[in-house]
Amino acid sequence: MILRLGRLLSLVVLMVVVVVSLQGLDRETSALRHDERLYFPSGEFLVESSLGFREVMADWLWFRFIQYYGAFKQGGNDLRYLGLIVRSINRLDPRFTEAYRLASFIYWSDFGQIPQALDILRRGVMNNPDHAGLRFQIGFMHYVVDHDYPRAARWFEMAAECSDATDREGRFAAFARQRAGDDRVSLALWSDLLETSSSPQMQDLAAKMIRKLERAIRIDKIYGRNFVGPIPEAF
Amino acid sequence: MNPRHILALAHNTYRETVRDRIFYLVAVFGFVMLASTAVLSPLTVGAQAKIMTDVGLAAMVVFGLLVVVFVGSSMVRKEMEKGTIVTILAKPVGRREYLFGKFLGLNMTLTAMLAVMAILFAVMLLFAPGEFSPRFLSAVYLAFLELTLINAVAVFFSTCVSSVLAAVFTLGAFVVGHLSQALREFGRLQSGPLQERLADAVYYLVPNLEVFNVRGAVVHGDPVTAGHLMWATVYGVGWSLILLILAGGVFARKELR
Repeated sequence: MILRLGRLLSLVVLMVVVVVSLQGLDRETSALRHDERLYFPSGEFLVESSLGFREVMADWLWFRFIQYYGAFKQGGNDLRYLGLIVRSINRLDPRFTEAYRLASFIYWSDFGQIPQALDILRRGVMNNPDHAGLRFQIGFMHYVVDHDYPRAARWFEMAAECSDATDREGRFAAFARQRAGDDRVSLALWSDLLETSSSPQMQDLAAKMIRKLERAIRIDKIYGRNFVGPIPEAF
Repeated sequence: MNPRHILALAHNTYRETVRDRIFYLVAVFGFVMLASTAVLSPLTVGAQAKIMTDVGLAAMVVFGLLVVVFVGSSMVRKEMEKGTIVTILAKPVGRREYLFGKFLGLNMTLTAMLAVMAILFAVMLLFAPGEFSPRFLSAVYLAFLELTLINAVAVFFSTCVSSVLAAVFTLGAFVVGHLSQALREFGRLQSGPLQERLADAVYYLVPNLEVFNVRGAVVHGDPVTAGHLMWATVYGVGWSLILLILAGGVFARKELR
């Protein structure tokens, strides 16, 4: 009995020793861990060293990326190695589209670095030519940030041609064309949406926009684009 | 070679692995799948389905590899050391039959394991945001071919060297098998034609295990062509037969006590 108690006690003591020593080690290495990404290997190396488990390694890096970004949001780092981590994820799994989207969003929203954000998205489009979401995001950035409506419309139209496109891409393309002053193209896009969409709400919106655009085109034809003044009720 | 002898030995090997509680690994697989859905989900940020599928398909290969390395590499050697092999070979069973039977038995274990893991994987995808696609079955089938080849490698090494060395060499073959394409490309970057030919020779003399890796493609929705499946089957079975014939040759000359 005493022997058994002694063994149990020694187990508990050893467990405490192990936990305390681990805490000590954590304190010692916390400074080192802060800069561990300095040793982050390149994507090329990771591809070869992953031994066929590239996607799983990309997923693991994705977790690190999320944690790294979370730490940045709490003031723990300056996201210095964001580009390196994202490039590595892209190299390991070029079709991991969420990585392009989130990285581009971070460059845009946290740093205001629009060219970098667009570069990442274009890289994503090159690796995923049939993915509507990435093209849409580029168009959206042109629409919202630099108000370049013709360019935004082109990206939305390209997004609408992708196999996984929804009504959203076509709707934004039509809106962007209208904002860019291309009423006839916008009208064609809305007409297309009216024919192809299965959503009643979208069909209602398309019908409304078609009426509005046809009216605008008629006014434009008779009075000219720069007409300002009361429009007859007939229109 | 008598197929009845081979099947009897295979059945016995299968029972032996079941008795060794190899199927506990399937439970670990289930745990890994659960962890990838429940525990990791807050970190996945919109990529949960992809990550679950990646983890599930990769875990099947990893667990299969563990079985092949630890069971396959000691399978023949253990019986040689225990002396039970002499009892078996004293019966009208050829040495090559014995090896083929052992190989087939472990492959039966792998088949059962992969089948259970694939069912678990499909069930998990039903409850998680992912979606099971028949495409994933091609990835599982190719993983089975890869493990079959590695099993043949393990059987080959287990006839030549000790269990520990056989395990190390089998793992080494897995590593080199996944690097052979890179080695070839590296050789092509060298200046001399000799290096290039040498790299080409290594490429053809080492099994290229990357041909069995379609996990990335199926996860992203790409189909695996029937041609790919057919050529991979020919390649995998061809290599396995080469290794088993070589192993049979070595084993036939071995002095057993």
